[in-house]
Amino acid sequence: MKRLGYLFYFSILFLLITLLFITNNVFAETELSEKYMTLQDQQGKLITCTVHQIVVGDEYLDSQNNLYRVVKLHNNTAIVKLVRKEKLTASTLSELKDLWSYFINGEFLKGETKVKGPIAIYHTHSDESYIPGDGTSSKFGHGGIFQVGDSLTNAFEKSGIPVVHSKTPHDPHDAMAYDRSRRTAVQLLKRQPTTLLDVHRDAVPPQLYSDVIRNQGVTKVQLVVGRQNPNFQANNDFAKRIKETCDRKYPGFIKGIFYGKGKYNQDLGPRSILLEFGSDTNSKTAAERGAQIFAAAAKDVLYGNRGAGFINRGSMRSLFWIIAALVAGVGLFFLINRGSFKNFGKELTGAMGEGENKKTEEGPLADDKAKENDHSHQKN
Amino acid sequence: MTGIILLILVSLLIFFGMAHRVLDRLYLSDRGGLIFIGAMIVGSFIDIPLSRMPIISVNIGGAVLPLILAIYVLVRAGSVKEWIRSIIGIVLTTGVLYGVNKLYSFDTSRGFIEPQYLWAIIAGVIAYVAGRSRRLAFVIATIGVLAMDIVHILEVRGTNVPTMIGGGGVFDTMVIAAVLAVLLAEMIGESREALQGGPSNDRPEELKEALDHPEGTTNSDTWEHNGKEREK
Repeated sequence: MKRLGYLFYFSILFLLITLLFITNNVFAETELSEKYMTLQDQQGKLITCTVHQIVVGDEYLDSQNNLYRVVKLHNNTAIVKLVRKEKLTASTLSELKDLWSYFINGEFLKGETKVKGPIAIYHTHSDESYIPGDGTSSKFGHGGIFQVGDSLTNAFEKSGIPVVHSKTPHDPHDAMAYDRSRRTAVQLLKRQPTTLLDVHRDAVPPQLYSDVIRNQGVTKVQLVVGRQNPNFQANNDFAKRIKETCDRKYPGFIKGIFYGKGKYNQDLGPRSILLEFGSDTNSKTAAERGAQIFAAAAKDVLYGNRGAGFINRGSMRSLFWIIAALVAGVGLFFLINRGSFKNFGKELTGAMGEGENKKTEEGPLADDKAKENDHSHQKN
Repeated sequence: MTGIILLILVSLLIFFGMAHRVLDRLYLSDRGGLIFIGAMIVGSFIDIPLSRMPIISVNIGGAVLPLILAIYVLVRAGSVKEWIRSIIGIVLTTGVLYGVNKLYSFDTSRGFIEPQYLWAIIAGVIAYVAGRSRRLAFVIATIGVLAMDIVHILEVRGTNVPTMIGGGGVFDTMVIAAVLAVLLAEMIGESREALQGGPSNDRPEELKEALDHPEGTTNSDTWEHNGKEREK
């Protein structure tokens, strides 16, 4: 039995060490912009390039709303197949409901919107900069990304939308940067914002983000949604709604939606999103113009009532999955520990019976329960 | 808005439900646990500035209260062996967290797991291996993440980068990692015991004695005694 125990510990340590080694053996602060991957379809057509670590099964929604899934990896090339063409538009029923609430709330008659919280902007990677403009891709504590945030702020404010722009630095650019920016995000949440935006830039070849709008060079915008996130469905629907709204005004301006592996603090609210304004190889001026275009195109969904029904459905789906995961997790835990669902059922009815007794004889049984808890600690 | 409100409410209930279950394992009664959670929520709104240059502040709900609880749990550890295991666990976890933070390249573009979950996994696994204890999981996750904040203060000295220790309040990494680490240690421990067919009997006598008679109780107060009484 003792040998089994040692084997168990050894396995856990082995797992931990393996985990350490499968992570990138580079310091997190260094960005390897030259090491990007090319996504192409089975006919060899270029879909996009990314510095994202790609694994089979990853998905990418391009500017034309084609959802691709990675099926094969070969060196720096990921072969993708088209899963489906996504329909980003909300259903007619949802649009009618939005319109109905618009009339019912009296906003149409009053000609003004209700007082809402501001749009909150922060930068997890406060060092991110643009080589053409800042001279470097990373400036410790005061990256060029702050000016892109300023540009976004000014554009919203010009439309009469209040903004809180936090320039709190979260350097160094390591794995704990999101833990530090989480504190800034929570501070911003105390201002009851309508939307929480984490503004970044990417690190891929410039042509992937270059665009021309109104005869001026601008950078496109990529939206990032975290998959390891209890709010995934709601955040994803929010991202789709932003894309759909921008597509109506500037088709192709939203480069796509990338589904990343973390949660990027998006678990803090259904209306939080990560935005990437261009790449480190695009000019900062173009990124600033991109921010203005984005603010003008997306303000209705970021601040207005537009899309409330759509996001609501995402929240309901998230709610369903959270509860389903919870029930499945608890079920599995009891199944492993109690041997069968029959025993689990017995325990459950026993516990409920105890609960009823507890109401009548709370004193002595509560003491017993406390002692039982003490005993269960022995298992530690 | 109903969906969003429901989603937020259920998420909060689940999170605080889990937190309460964890506190239940840390020498706190049900009522004590609820009061503690309430204090953490209220404390989330209070930041105490510690230094202006570099800017350092500490949040009551996200750092001070969990730290007080961790120290309390550590002080109440039953035996010298438990103390030694706790200290080894804390040192080991802080070292591993530091190393992983530097080696693990996480970004929107890189990484395979959300760091907040990774810190909890590291703390939970090391706590179980070092001390086979849920309490130790709480202690080392809390102190491990705090130690990383201290490392951060040293790393950014002379710059304008602030350190808001526990600034996320009840949603701070320190709290979430500690809660998840305890639940993980519990899952590993319970599952392992179930797989090997029950708890092992090779515990030190000193530990058995300390666990059998917590808070200076006598033989008549122990679970075994009560169990026998109930059987009658």
